Amino acid sequence: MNIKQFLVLLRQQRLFSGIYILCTALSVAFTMTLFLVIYIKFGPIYPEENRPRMAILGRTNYVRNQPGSGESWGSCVSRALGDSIRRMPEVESLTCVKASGDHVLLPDGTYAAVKCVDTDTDYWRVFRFRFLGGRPFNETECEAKSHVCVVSASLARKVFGHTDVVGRELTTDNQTLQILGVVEEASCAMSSSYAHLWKPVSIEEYTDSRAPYMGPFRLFMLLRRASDMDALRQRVARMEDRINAASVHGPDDMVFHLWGQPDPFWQAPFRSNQNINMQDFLRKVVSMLLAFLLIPAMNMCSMVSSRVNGRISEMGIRRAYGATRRRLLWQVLQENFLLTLIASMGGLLISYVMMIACADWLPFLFETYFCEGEKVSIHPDMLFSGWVMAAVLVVCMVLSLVSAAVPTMWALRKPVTEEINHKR
Amino acid sequence: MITLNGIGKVYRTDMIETVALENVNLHIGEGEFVSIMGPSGCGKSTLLNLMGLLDTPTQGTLEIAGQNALGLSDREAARLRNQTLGFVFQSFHLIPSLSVEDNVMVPLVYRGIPYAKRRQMAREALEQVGLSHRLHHLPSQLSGGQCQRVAIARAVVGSPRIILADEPTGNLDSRMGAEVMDILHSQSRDAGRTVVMVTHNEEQARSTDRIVRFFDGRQVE
Repeated sequence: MNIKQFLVLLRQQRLFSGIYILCTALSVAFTMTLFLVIYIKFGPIYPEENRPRMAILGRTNYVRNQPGSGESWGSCVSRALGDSIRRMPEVESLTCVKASGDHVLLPDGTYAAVKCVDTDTDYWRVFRFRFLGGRPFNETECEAKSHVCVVSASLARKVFGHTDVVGRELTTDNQTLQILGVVEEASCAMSSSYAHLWKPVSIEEYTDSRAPYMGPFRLFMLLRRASDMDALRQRVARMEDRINAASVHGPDDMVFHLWGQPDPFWQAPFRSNQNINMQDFLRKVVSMLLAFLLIPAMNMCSMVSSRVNGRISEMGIRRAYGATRRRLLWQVLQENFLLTLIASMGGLLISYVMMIACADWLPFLFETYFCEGEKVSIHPDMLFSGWVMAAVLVVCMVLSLVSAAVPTMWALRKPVTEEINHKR
Repeated sequence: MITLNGIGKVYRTDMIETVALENVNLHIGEGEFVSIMGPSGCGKSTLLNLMGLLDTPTQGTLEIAGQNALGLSDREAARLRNQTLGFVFQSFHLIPSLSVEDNVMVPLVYRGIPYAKRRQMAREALEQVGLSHRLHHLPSQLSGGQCQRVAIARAVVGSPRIILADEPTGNLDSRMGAEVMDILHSQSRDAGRTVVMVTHNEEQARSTDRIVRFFDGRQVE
């Protein structure tokens, strides 16, 4: 490709180049925003960097084994179930998480609502929080039922005005906790880990009198390898069968169900009790991609066609002097790819601006979960990643190919004489 | 250098059939400067396009530089055009988005010559036509005569054995036309190139080695 010619063409065809770049940039911006939403939902982002190796088990059911009864009990799961799964060879770490709300005492004597997580020591292995100071609670403190906690940087600032608060005491609704560590704030869009206050799970006991595997916890597992998912599922299914066969952990006529869980992290949001339903999500994503990418590509196709039309004579001259059709097609594709790449970089910037400006709702486009009353922060690792850049390149190539290849191939079918004498 | 045997060209559409050339037999020797004359629409330019492999005949055989030039693939025809033929058109057909120097380099690009070498060759060709001071101008910044001289530089830069010129002075005033003719004569006389020129100008035609006349698609002289 002749870069000088490319630049001269940009100058000579200002209107076309401007409109093409703008249309492409907008198309890429919307597409990339969609990718970013999906990336934020599933990508390895602080403190959920382990998402690719993460599995979730969040619900169980006991269904009465009597035709026509219809009776079932459903809830989250118990620590006992977590303890059984933790020993499985595919599991590197497993943490039981109970998210709840609490209140902390502020210096002015009022209480502020906070998101609270009751968990165990493995939590800090599954979720990789960065500590600004101090450390997480350990096994000894959990077993001793110590009244200790870890707080987020924002809570530390809210209560104490700064983050250097290790060793200070924090008063909640019903207890006083000693702060062991302060973690770097996560984005509220990280729905599996976002909280202000983390306490050892042993502080309060949680039991369900009806069945030992029912409880208030969600289990987050870190697998040794992402490919261990199927093996873990099969092992958990066998455990489920054994429990039902023995009928020792529940009332005799109740059948214990895990409905194929644990789920890989990317599948878990689509579980509705028994089934995983991704169709609705996929339908939305595909419709949006069509609207944001392919329809503009068709429009750009006609723009490129008009541009190629203006250069048919040039192609004829080049063919007269020894260019093959393939070489000319390659040249036009390269030029168009470069133009699209410039536009795509602009589009990517626009998508970043959109994501930051609409942080309150865009990351939750496909969610039923919102950070109500919270300011949603967008961190750099939510925007900049190899995956996002690769997606830009792919989008760019798709747009470029769809919009330039067809009109150029069509134009190059003519005899050279027709091309040379072509009047625009 | 160029041999046409029984060449015919018919343009067909759904409705009509137009005979542009009929049974043309012609041999042009190496280093010869031949003029092709005839009234408008008699098939002169069509003949030149066939010789330049820019179009294909509907019948007959064509040899260029001893090589059968029909039935070639796109790649083979492109190579033959690139290495053997140079074109000069009435409307110059310079690429408007390329500088003078880059326009002249076009044939060399497809020959795979490195940039530095082809720039040197382009500058030498432009020197020959007296335009070495206009290297970085765009075609839109040149006069018609200068454009045609650039086109001639482009035609000769790769040292082709044949130059095909389609009314090269048709868009020029007489002084510019004379300059262009001088350059073409020197290409034939000094460089030993075969030049085939379509023209309406009787005087210019008489200055060449041979005149071939056409009427209604047939060779009459």
